[in-house]
Amino acid sequence: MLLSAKKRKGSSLFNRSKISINLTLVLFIFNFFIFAANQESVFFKSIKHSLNLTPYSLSFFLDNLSNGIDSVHQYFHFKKTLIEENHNLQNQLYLLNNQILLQENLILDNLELQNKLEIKEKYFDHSVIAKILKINYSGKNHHFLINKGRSDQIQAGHIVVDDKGILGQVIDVQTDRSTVKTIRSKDFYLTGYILIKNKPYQTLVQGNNQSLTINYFSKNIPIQIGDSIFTTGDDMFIPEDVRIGKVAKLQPSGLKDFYKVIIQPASNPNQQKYLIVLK
Amino acid sequence: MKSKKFIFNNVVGLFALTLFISMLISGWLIFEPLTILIIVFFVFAYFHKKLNSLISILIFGFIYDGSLGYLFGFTNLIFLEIILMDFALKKLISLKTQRSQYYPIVLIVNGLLFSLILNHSTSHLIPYLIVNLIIGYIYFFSLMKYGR
Repeated sequence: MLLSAKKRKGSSLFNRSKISINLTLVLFIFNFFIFAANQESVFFKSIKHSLNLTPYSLSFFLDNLSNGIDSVHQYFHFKKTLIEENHNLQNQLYLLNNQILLQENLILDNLELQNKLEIKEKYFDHSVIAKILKINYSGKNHHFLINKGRSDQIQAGHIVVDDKGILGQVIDVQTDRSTVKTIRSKDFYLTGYILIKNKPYQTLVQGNNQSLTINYFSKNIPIQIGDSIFTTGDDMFIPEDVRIGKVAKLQPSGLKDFYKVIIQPASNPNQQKYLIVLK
Repeated sequence: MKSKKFIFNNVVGLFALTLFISMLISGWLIFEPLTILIIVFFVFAYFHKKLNSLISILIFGFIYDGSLGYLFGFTNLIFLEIILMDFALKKLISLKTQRSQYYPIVLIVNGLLFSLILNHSTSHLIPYLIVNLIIGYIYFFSLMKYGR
Protein backbone atom coordinates (compact mmCIF):
# COMPACT_ATOMS: atom_id res chain seq x y z
CA MET A 1 0.00 0.00 0.00
CA LEU A 2 1.17 3.47 -0.80
CA LEU A 3 0.24 4.93 2.55
CA SER A 4 2.15 2.30 4.45
CA ALA A 5 5.27 3.24 2.55
CA LYS A 6 5.59 6.32 4.68
CA LYS A 7 6.42 4.35 7.81
CA ARG A 8 10.10 4.88 7.49
CA LYS A 9 12.78 6.41 9.58
CA GLY A 10 12.72 9.76 7.83
CA SER A 11 9.08 10.47 8.57
CA SER A 12 9.72 12.71 11.55
CA LEU A 13 7.15 15.43 11.37
CA PHE A 14 7.43 17.16 14.74
CA ASN A 15 11.16 17.41 15.21
CA ARG A 16 11.80 20.56 13.29
CA SER A 17 13.34 22.62 16.07
CA LYS A 18 15.93 24.13 13.73
CA ILE A 19 13.52 26.49 12.03
CA SER A 20 12.65 29.49 14.08
CA ILE A 21 8.99 30.42 14.12
CA ASN A 22 9.91 34.08 14.34
CA LEU A 23 12.01 33.86 11.20
CA THR A 24 9.20 32.02 9.45
CA LEU A 25 6.74 34.70 10.43
CA VAL A 26 9.06 37.45 9.21
CA LEU A 27 9.55 35.68 5.93
CA PHE A 28 5.81 35.14 5.62
CA ILE A 29 5.13 38.83 6.07
CA PHE A 30 7.95 39.75 3.71
CA ASN A 31 6.58 37.42 1.07
CA PHE A 32 3.12 38.76 1.57
CA PHE A 33 4.36 42.25 0.86
CA ILE A 34 6.06 41.07 -2.27
CA PHE A 35 2.94 39.20 -3.30
CA ALA A 36 0.73 42.17 -2.68
CA ALA A 37 3.11 44.65 -4.30
CA ASN A 38 2.56 45.96 -7.78
CA GLN A 39 4.31 43.33 -9.90
CA GLU A 40 3.81 45.16 -13.14
CA SER A 41 6.93 47.16 -12.40
CA VAL A 42 9.98 46.96 -14.61
CA PHE A 43 11.96 45.12 -11.94
CA PHE A 44 9.54 42.19 -11.63
CA LYS A 45 8.85 42.14 -15.34
CA SER A 46 12.53 41.86 -16.14
CA ILE A 47 12.90 38.95 -13.70
CA LYS A 48 9.88 37.21 -15.20
CA HIS A 49 11.19 37.85 -18.66
CA SER A 50 14.54 36.31 -17.76
CA LEU A 51 12.80 33.24 -16.35
CA ASN A 52 10.61 33.05 -19.46
CA LEU A 53 9.53 29.45 -18.96
CA THR A 54 5.80 29.92 -18.97
CA PRO A 55 3.43 27.22 -20.13
CA TYR A 56 3.11 29.17 -23.35
CA SER A 57 6.79 28.78 -24.01
CA LEU A 58 6.46 25.08 -23.27
CA SER A 59 3.58 24.75 -25.71
CA PHE A 60 5.63 26.80 -28.14
CA PHE A 61 8.45 24.32 -27.61
CA LEU A 62 6.12 21.36 -28.10
CA ASP A 63 4.63 22.92 -31.24
CA ASN A 64 8.07 23.56 -32.62
CA LEU A 65 9.12 20.06 -31.68
CA SER A 66 6.26 18.64 -33.74
CA ASN A 67 7.16 21.05 -36.55
CA GLY A 68 10.75 19.88 -36.30
CA ILE A 69 9.69 16.24 -36.45
CA ASP A 70 7.53 17.11 -39.47
CA SER A 71 10.46 18.89 -41.08
CA VAL A 72 12.75 15.91 -40.51
CA HIS A 73 10.09 13.62 -41.94
CA GLN A 74 9.65 15.93 -44.91
CA TYR A 75 13.41 16.05 -45.40
CA PHE A 76 13.68 12.27 -45.55
CA HIS A 77 10.59 12.05 -47.74
CA PHE A 78 12.05 14.70 -50.05
CA LYS A 79 15.38 12.88 -50.09
CA LYS A 80 13.66 9.61 -50.97
CA THR A 81 11.73 11.36 -53.75
CA LEU A 82 14.91 12.92 -55.06
CA ILE A 83 16.70 9.57 -55.05
CA GLU A 84 13.82 7.98 -56.96
CA GLU A 85 13.79 10.87 -59.42
CA ASN A 86 17.53 10.60 -59.84
CA HIS A 87 17.20 6.88 -60.45
CA ASN A 88 14.52 7.48 -63.08
CA LEU A 89 16.59 10.19 -64.74
CA GLN A 90 19.60 7.89 -64.83
CA ASN A 91 17.48 5.21 -66.47
CA GLN A 92 16.23 7.74 -69.02
CA LEU A 93 19.78 8.91 -69.65
CA TYR A 94 20.87 5.33 -70.17
CA LEU A 95 18.04 4.80 -72.68
CA LEU A 96 18.83 8.06 -74.44
CA ASN A 97 22.51 7.12 -74.66
CA ASN A 98 21.49 3.80 -76.14
CA GLN A 99 19.29 5.57 -78.66
CA ILE A 100 22.13 7.93 -79.55
CA LEU A 101 24.45 4.97 -80.03
CA LEU A 102 21.85 3.26 -82.19
CA GLN A 103 21.42 6.43 -84.23
CA GLU A 104 25.18 6.76 -84.61
CA ASN A 105 25.32 3.16 -85.74
CA LEU A 106 22.51 3.86 -88.16
CA ILE A 107 24.34 6.90 -89.53
CA LEU A 108 27.50 4.85 -89.98
CA ASP A 109 25.51 2.07 -91.61
CA ASN A 110 23.88 4.59 -93.90
CA LEU A 111 27.23 6.06 -94.88
CA GLU A 112 28.63 2.63 -95.58
CA LEU A 113 25.55 1.64 -97.56
CA GLN A 114 25.72 4.85 -99.58
CA ASN A 115 29.36 4.14 -100.32
CA LYS A 116 28.53 0.63 -101.43
CA LEU A 117 25.62 1.85 -103.52
CA GLU A 118 27.85 4.35 -105.25
CA ILE A 119 30.35 1.62 -106.02
CA LYS A 120 27.57 -0.60 -107.26
CA GLU A 121 26.16 2.09 -109.51
CA LYS A 122 29.56 3.12 -110.81
CA TYR A 123 31.24 -0.19 -111.41
CA PHE A 124 28.98 -3.22 -110.97
CA ASP A 125 25.55 -3.10 -112.52
CA HIS A 126 24.68 -6.70 -111.80
CA SER A 127 25.42 -6.88 -108.15
CA VAL A 128 23.64 -7.03 -104.83
CA ILE A 129 24.56 -5.56 -101.48
CA ALA A 130 24.66 -8.06 -98.64
CA LYS A 131 25.17 -7.76 -94.91
CA ILE A 132 27.77 -9.79 -93.06
CA LEU A 133 26.06 -11.92 -90.43
CA LYS A 134 28.83 -13.97 -88.92
CA ILE A 135 32.58 -13.97 -89.33
CA ASN A 136 34.57 -17.21 -89.12
CA TYR A 137 31.33 -19.00 -89.74
CA SER A 138 31.03 -22.54 -88.25
CA GLY A 139 34.48 -22.25 -86.73
CA LYS A 140 36.18 -21.99 -90.12
CA ASN A 141 38.80 -19.29 -90.48
CA HIS A 142 38.33 -16.83 -93.29
CA HIS A 143 34.72 -17.77 -93.87
CA PHE A 144 31.70 -15.65 -93.17
CA LEU A 145 27.99 -15.68 -93.66
CA ILE A 146 26.00 -13.07 -95.58
CA ASN A 147 22.26 -12.44 -95.64
CA LYS A 148 21.67 -13.00 -99.33
CA GLY A 149 21.09 -16.35 -100.94
CA ARG A 150 19.38 -18.19 -103.69
CA SER A 151 16.34 -15.97 -103.49
CA ASP A 152 18.56 -13.08 -104.60
CA GLN A 153 20.02 -15.13 -107.47
CA ILE A 154 23.30 -15.65 -105.67
CA GLN A 155 25.29 -18.63 -106.93
CA ALA A 156 28.34 -20.41 -105.73
CA GLY A 157 31.38 -18.84 -107.37
CA HIS A 158 30.12 -15.27 -107.26
CA ILE A 159 32.78 -12.81 -106.26
CA VAL A 160 32.41 -10.58 -103.24
CA VAL A 161 34.07 -7.17 -103.08
CA ASP A 162 34.17 -4.26 -100.69
CA ASP A 163 35.12 -0.65 -101.32
CA LYS A 164 38.84 -1.50 -101.30
CA GLY A 165 38.92 -4.50 -103.54
CA ILE A 166 38.15 -8.17 -103.97
CA LEU A 167 37.26 -9.87 -100.75
CA GLY A 168 36.28 -13.47 -101.45
CA GLN A 169 34.04 -15.86 -103.24
CA VAL A 170 30.68 -17.42 -102.48
CA ILE A 171 31.17 -21.15 -101.92
CA ASP A 172 27.82 -22.25 -100.57
CA VAL A 173 24.33 -20.87 -101.17
CA GLN A 174 21.13 -21.41 -99.24
CA THR A 175 17.74 -19.79 -99.67
CA ASP A 176 18.56 -16.55 -97.92
CA ARG A 177 22.08 -17.19 -96.67
CA SER A 178 25.43 -17.64 -98.37
CA THR A 179 28.88 -18.63 -97.18
CA VAL A 180 31.81 -16.62 -98.43
CA LYS A 181 35.43 -17.73 -98.40
CA THR A 182 37.93 -14.88 -98.28
CA ILE A 183 40.92 -14.54 -100.55
CA ARG A 184 43.20 -15.13 -97.57
CA SER A 185 42.11 -18.78 -97.34
CA LYS A 186 44.90 -21.22 -98.08
CA ASP A 187 43.04 -23.01 -100.89
CA PHE A 188 42.02 -19.82 -102.67
CA TYR A 189 43.70 -19.22 -106.03
CA LEU A 190 43.29 -16.19 -108.19
CA THR A 191 44.80 -14.98 -111.39
CA GLY A 192 46.00 -11.41 -111.28
CA TYR A 193 48.43 -8.99 -112.84
CA ILE A 194 50.91 -6.61 -111.30
CA LEU A 195 51.25 -3.21 -112.84
CA ILE A 196 54.98 -2.48 -113.03
CA LYS A 197 55.77 0.74 -114.79
CA ASN A 198 52.36 0.61 -116.47
CA LYS A 199 53.08 -2.82 -117.79
CA PRO A 200 51.06 -5.77 -116.56
CA TYR A 201 52.70 -9.02 -115.46
CA GLN A 202 50.38 -11.96 -115.05
CA THR A 203 50.76 -14.19 -112.05
CA LEU A 204 48.94 -16.66 -109.80
CA VAL A 205 48.03 -15.47 -106.36
CA GLN A 206 47.35 -17.86 -103.49
CA GLY A 207 46.06 -17.30 -99.98
CA ASN A 208 48.18 -18.38 -97.02
CA ASN A 209 45.70 -17.76 -94.17
CA GLN A 210 47.37 -14.46 -93.30
CA SER A 211 47.92 -12.68 -96.58
CA LEU A 212 48.43 -13.60 -100.21
CA THR A 213 51.55 -14.97 -101.82
CA ILE A 214 53.04 -15.30 -105.27
CA ASN A 215 55.27 -18.28 -104.81
CA TYR A 216 57.58 -17.67 -107.75
CA PHE A 217 58.07 -14.29 -109.36
CA SER A 218 61.03 -13.65 -111.64
CA LYS A 219 63.73 -11.44 -110.27
CA ASN A 220 64.23 -10.05 -113.77
CA ILE A 221 61.01 -8.12 -113.51
CA PRO A 222 61.59 -4.86 -111.60
CA ILE A 223 58.92 -5.42 -108.99
CA GLN A 224 58.84 -3.06 -106.04
CA ILE A 225 57.16 -3.00 -102.67
CA GLY A 226 53.92 -1.09 -102.99
CA ASP A 227 53.08 -2.21 -106.50
CA SER A 228 49.40 -2.95 -106.92
CA ILE A 229 47.93 -6.19 -108.14
CA PHE A 230 44.56 -6.51 -109.94
CA THR A 231 42.35 -9.33 -111.10
CA THR A 232 42.78 -10.56 -114.60
CA GLY A 233 39.21 -11.78 -114.79
CA ASP A 234 37.68 -14.87 -116.31
CA ASP A 235 34.64 -15.57 -118.36
CA MET A 236 32.68 -16.89 -115.45
CA PHE A 237 32.49 -14.78 -112.33
CA ILE A 238 35.69 -12.87 -111.67
CA PRO A 239 35.59 -9.37 -113.14
CA GLU A 240 38.59 -7.64 -114.59
CA ASP A 241 40.71 -4.95 -112.97
CA VAL A 242 39.47 -5.32 -109.44
CA ARG A 243 42.17 -4.48 -106.90
CA ILE A 244 43.57 -7.45 -104.98
CA GLY A 245 46.21 -5.75 -102.88
CA LYS A 246 49.74 -4.39 -102.75
CA VAL A 247 53.17 -5.96 -102.70
CA ALA A 248 54.25 -6.00 -99.06
CA LYS A 249 57.42 -8.12 -99.00
CA LEU A 250 59.84 -9.74 -101.41
CA GLN A 251 61.22 -12.92 -99.91
CA PRO A 252 63.65 -15.45 -101.35
CA SER A 253 61.93 -18.49 -102.77
CA GLY A 254 63.30 -22.02 -103.17
CA LEU A 255 64.57 -21.13 -106.63
CA LYS A 256 67.49 -18.84 -107.21
CA ASP A 257 65.96 -16.50 -109.79
CA PHE A 258 62.58 -16.06 -108.21
CA TYR A 259 61.11 -14.08 -105.40
CA LYS A 260 58.39 -15.18 -103.12
CA VAL A 261 56.10 -12.12 -103.11
CA ILE A 262 53.92 -11.41 -100.10
CA ILE A 263 50.85 -9.37 -100.98
CA GLN A 264 48.81 -7.46 -98.42
CA PRO A 265 45.14 -7.78 -99.46
CA ALA A 266 43.33 -4.48 -99.93
CA SER A 267 40.06 -5.73 -98.50
CA ASN A 268 39.36 -6.50 -94.88
CA PRO A 269 36.02 -8.08 -93.94
CA ASN A 270 36.53 -7.24 -90.27
CA GLN A 271 36.13 -3.54 -91.06
CA GLN A 272 32.95 -3.98 -93.10
CA LYS A 273 29.31 -4.49 -92.37
CA TYR A 274 28.09 -4.61 -95.95
CA LEU A 275 29.60 -6.18 -99.03
CA ILE A 276 28.87 -6.23 -102.72
CA VAL A 277 28.19 -9.59 -104.35
CA LEU A 278 28.90 -9.48 -108.08
CA LYS A 279 26.51 -11.46 -110.21
CA MET B 1 29.03 17.79 3.81
CA LYS B 2 28.78 15.14 1.18
CA SER B 3 25.45 13.89 2.45
CA LYS B 4 24.14 17.46 2.60
CA LYS B 5 25.28 18.09 -0.95
CA PHE B 6 23.68 14.88 -2.03
CA ILE B 7 20.38 15.79 -0.41
CA PHE B 8 20.46 19.30 -1.82
CA ASN B 9 21.24 18.04 -5.31
CA ASN B 10 18.52 15.52 -4.98
CA VAL B 11 16.09 18.23 -3.97
CA VAL B 12 17.18 20.36 -6.90
CA GLY B 13 16.46 17.43 -9.20
CA LEU B 14 13.06 16.94 -7.63
CA PHE B 15 12.32 20.64 -7.97
CA ALA B 16 13.29 20.55 -11.64
CA LEU B 17 11.05 17.52 -12.12
CA THR B 18 8.19 19.28 -10.36
CA LEU B 19 8.67 22.39 -12.44
CA PHE B 20 8.77 20.39 -15.63
CA ILE B 21 5.63 18.39 -14.83
CA SER B 22 3.85 21.60 -13.78
CA MET B 23 4.69 23.26 -17.07
CA LEU B 24 3.72 20.15 -18.97
CA ILE B 25 0.30 19.96 -17.32
CA SER B 26 -0.23 23.73 -17.41
CA GLY B 27 0.55 23.61 -21.11
CA TRP B 28 -3.02 22.50 -21.67
CA LEU B 29 -4.28 25.48 -19.65
CA ILE B 30 -7.26 23.63 -18.24
CA PHE B 31 -7.14 24.34 -14.50
CA GLU B 32 -4.60 27.03 -13.93
CA PRO B 33 -2.88 27.62 -11.58
CA LEU B 34 -1.85 24.06 -10.85
CA THR B 35 -0.24 24.65 -7.48
CA ILE B 36 -0.63 21.20 -6.00
CA LEU B 37 2.62 19.87 -7.42
CA ILE B 38 4.80 22.53 -5.85
CA ILE B 39 2.92 22.13 -2.55
CA VAL B 40 3.57 18.41 -2.62
CA PHE B 41 7.20 19.06 -3.43
CA PHE B 42 7.55 21.50 -0.52
CA VAL B 43 5.94 19.14 1.95
CA PHE B 44 7.98 16.23 0.76
CA ALA B 45 11.23 18.20 0.79
CA TYR B 46 10.50 19.78 4.14
CA PHE B 47 9.52 16.67 6.04
CA HIS B 48 11.28 13.86 4.28
CA LYS B 49 14.37 15.40 2.77
CA LYS B 50 14.97 17.57 5.85
CA LEU B 51 15.53 20.64 3.73
CA ASN B 52 16.36 23.04 6.52
CA SER B 53 17.53 25.92 4.39
CA LEU B 54 14.69 28.35 4.10
CA ILE B 55 16.72 30.37 1.60
CA SER B 56 16.72 27.42 -0.82
CA ILE B 57 13.00 27.07 -0.42
CA LEU B 58 12.47 30.73 -1.09
CA ILE B 59 14.69 30.65 -4.16
CA PHE B 60 12.79 27.63 -5.45
CA GLY B 61 9.55 29.46 -4.84
CA PHE B 62 10.63 32.53 -6.75
CA ILE B 63 11.89 30.46 -9.66
CA TYR B 64 8.63 28.54 -9.74
CA ASP B 65 6.58 31.74 -9.68
CA GLY B 66 8.66 33.34 -12.39
CA SER B 67 8.65 30.28 -14.58
CA LEU B 68 4.92 29.70 -14.48
CA GLY B 69 3.94 33.34 -14.57
CA TYR B 70 2.48 33.55 -11.06
CA LEU B 71 2.81 36.57 -8.84
CA PHE B 72 6.12 36.53 -6.99
CA GLY B 73 5.75 35.26 -3.45
CA PHE B 74 2.72 33.11 -4.24
CA THR B 75 4.27 29.69 -3.67
CA ASN B 76 6.52 30.90 -0.89
CA LEU B 77 3.51 32.18 1.00
CA ILE B 78 1.87 28.80 0.68
CA PHE B 79 4.97 27.05 1.91
CA LEU B 80 5.49 29.37 4.86
CA GLU B 81 1.84 29.00 5.75
CA ILE B 82 2.32 25.22 5.77
CA ILE B 83 5.28 25.60 8.14
CA LEU B 84 3.30 27.90 10.41
CA MET B 85 0.43 25.46 10.33
CA ASP B 86 2.88 22.72 11.25
CA PHE B 87 4.06 24.76 14.23
CA ALA B 88 0.52 25.47 15.27
CA LEU B 89 -0.58 21.87 15.02
CA LYS B 90 2.47 20.81 16.95
CA LYS B 91 1.45 23.11 19.77
CA LEU B 92 -2.25 22.32 19.69
CA ILE B 93 -2.42 18.61 18.94
CA SER B 94 -0.31 15.88 20.47
CA LEU B 95 -0.17 12.72 18.38
CA LYS B 96 1.00 9.71 20.29
CA THR B 97 2.60 7.95 17.40
CA GLN B 98 4.12 11.13 16.01
CA ARG B 99 4.14 9.33 12.68
CA SER B 100 0.67 9.83 11.39
CA GLN B 101 0.35 8.81 7.79
CA TYR B 102 -2.23 11.47 7.06
CA TYR B 103 -0.45 14.43 8.55
CA PRO B 104 1.40 15.50 5.36
CA ILE B 105 -1.85 15.13 3.44
CA VAL B 106 -3.56 17.43 5.88
CA LEU B 107 -0.80 19.96 5.34
CA ILE B 108 -1.02 19.60 1.57
CA VAL B 109 -4.80 20.16 1.58
CA ASN B 110 -4.26 23.10 3.86
CA GLY B 111 -1.73 24.56 1.42
CA LEU B 112 -4.10 24.02 -1.46
CA LEU B 113 -6.92 25.83 0.30
CA PHE B 114 -4.56 28.65 1.21
CA SER B 115 -3.52 28.93 -2.46
CA LEU B 116 -7.22 29.27 -3.32
CA ILE B 117 -7.51 32.11 -0.83
CA LEU B 118 -4.53 33.84 -2.43
CA ASN B 119 -5.65 33.24 -6.01
CA HIS B 120 -9.39 32.64 -6.47
CA SER B 121 -9.42 33.30 -10.17
CA THR B 122 -10.63 29.81 -11.05
CA SER B 123 -14.34 29.60 -11.81
CA HIS B 124 -14.52 25.80 -11.62
CA LEU B 125 -13.78 25.27 -7.97
CA ILE B 126 -14.92 21.68 -7.54
CA PRO B 127 -13.24 20.29 -10.68
CA TYR B 128 -10.18 22.31 -9.79
CA LEU B 129 -10.02 20.75 -6.32
CA ILE B 130 -10.67 17.24 -7.63
CA VAL B 131 -7.99 17.49 -10.29
CA ASN B 132 -5.49 19.04 -7.91
CA LEU B 133 -6.10 16.48 -5.19
CA ILE B 134 -5.85 13.54 -7.56
CA ILE B 135 -2.65 14.84 -9.12
CA GLY B 136 -1.26 15.73 -5.68
CA TYR B 137 -2.10 12.29 -4.27
CA ILE B 138 -0.40 10.53 -7.18
CA TYR B 139 2.61 12.80 -7.08
CA PHE B 140 3.07 12.68 -3.32
CA PHE B 141 3.01 8.90 -3.11
CA SER B 142 5.20 8.63 -6.18
CA LEU B 143 7.72 10.80 -4.38
CA MET B 144 7.32 8.75 -1.22
CA LYS B 145 7.99 5.59 -3.12
CA TYR B 146 10.73 6.62 -5.53
CA GLY B 147 12.12 9.89 -4.24
CA ARG B 148 13.48 8.84 -0.88
